[in-house]
Amino acid sequence: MHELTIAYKIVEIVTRTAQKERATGVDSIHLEVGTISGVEINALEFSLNIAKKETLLENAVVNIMRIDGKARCKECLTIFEVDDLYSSCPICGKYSREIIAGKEIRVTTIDIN
Amino acid sequence: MCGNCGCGEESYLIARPDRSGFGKEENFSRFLLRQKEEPFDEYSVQPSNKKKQISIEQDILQDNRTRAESNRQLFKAKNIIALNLVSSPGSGKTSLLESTIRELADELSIFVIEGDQQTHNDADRIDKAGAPVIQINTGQGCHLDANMVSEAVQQLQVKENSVLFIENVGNLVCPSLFDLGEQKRVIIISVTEGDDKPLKYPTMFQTSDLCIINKTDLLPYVDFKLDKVKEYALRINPKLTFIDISVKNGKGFEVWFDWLKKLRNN
Repeated sequence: MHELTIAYKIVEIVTRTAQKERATGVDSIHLEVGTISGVEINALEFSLNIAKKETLLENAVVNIMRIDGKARCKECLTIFEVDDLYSSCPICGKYSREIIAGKEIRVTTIDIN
Repeated sequence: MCGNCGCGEESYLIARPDRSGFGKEENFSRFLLRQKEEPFDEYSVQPSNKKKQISIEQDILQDNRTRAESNRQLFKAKNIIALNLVSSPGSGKTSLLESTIRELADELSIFVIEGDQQTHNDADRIDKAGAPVIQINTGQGCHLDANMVSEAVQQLQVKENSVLFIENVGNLVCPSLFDLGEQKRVIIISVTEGDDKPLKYPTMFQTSDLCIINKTDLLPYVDFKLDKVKEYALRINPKLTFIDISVKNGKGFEVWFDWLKKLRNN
């Protein structure tokens, strides 16, 4: 359940920005979370509900955009979708690949009032 | 639950064995995991009275990565080889360290940071084996992070030209996301765990450099297949190298020691 650590970090980042902007509250936050980032999205949503309490984010709507996993085969350079870390290249069958998307855990934008 | 779930202390503890009363609460220093947010006072700021969207575009793990990078620079400057040891609970991390310390006492200067949720049992064992050690108790936390390691390194006064073993909390999931600033990540699995572990916990295998397979003395009694675990692990991380070891009968230790000394001398 490292998602709770991550949820507190999100609240910290958003609070810092919102205070700088002299916001009275945060209406919504927008996150990008990769499907192979190691973060369970359901657990993150649950954790954010706990972490938001008694902060500027208390009433904020959380929008999480899932980023699908993509890998590039190091042998034949094919780009293919992955939803795990052990798929082989669908073209040449090799396991040597680099992940080019799906590892994101980011705060992108927030809406403040 | 991890980090601060509201059911425990929002802090972690660090202590060094001093042989008299180690483990007593007063001998542990307490560090806050996060600053408590000041309650928001809506009258203290001039409201902006304006709805607007702000772009942040920040990686949530960036703070940890920045601190890990500063740890890495410190290790480099002092010529310290830092190794992050990760595994499930009970794979034999501490036993491996005890034997390594005893065998290499004359050849390497070894320091150890122990990470566990509770107790100083592991630090006691390392202390007895003869290496300077410090214990981090993460409380509810399920992993070490770069801040904790930075604090522990300062308190432990890790010397130049040494090898620093950081024994992470026994957990094959959470520690994989938290860079500590180590030079190499070493994953330890034991043959009693099942040979499909790499497929079940791929992130940890993907981020490791060396895989030690321990308790090989038990191979005749279990269904674990060495070839199979290696094949699975290489699917996830083609660069992973392996050392088969038995802490119990000493088989494979020469290869492990060579790996360490090679790293030290490079």
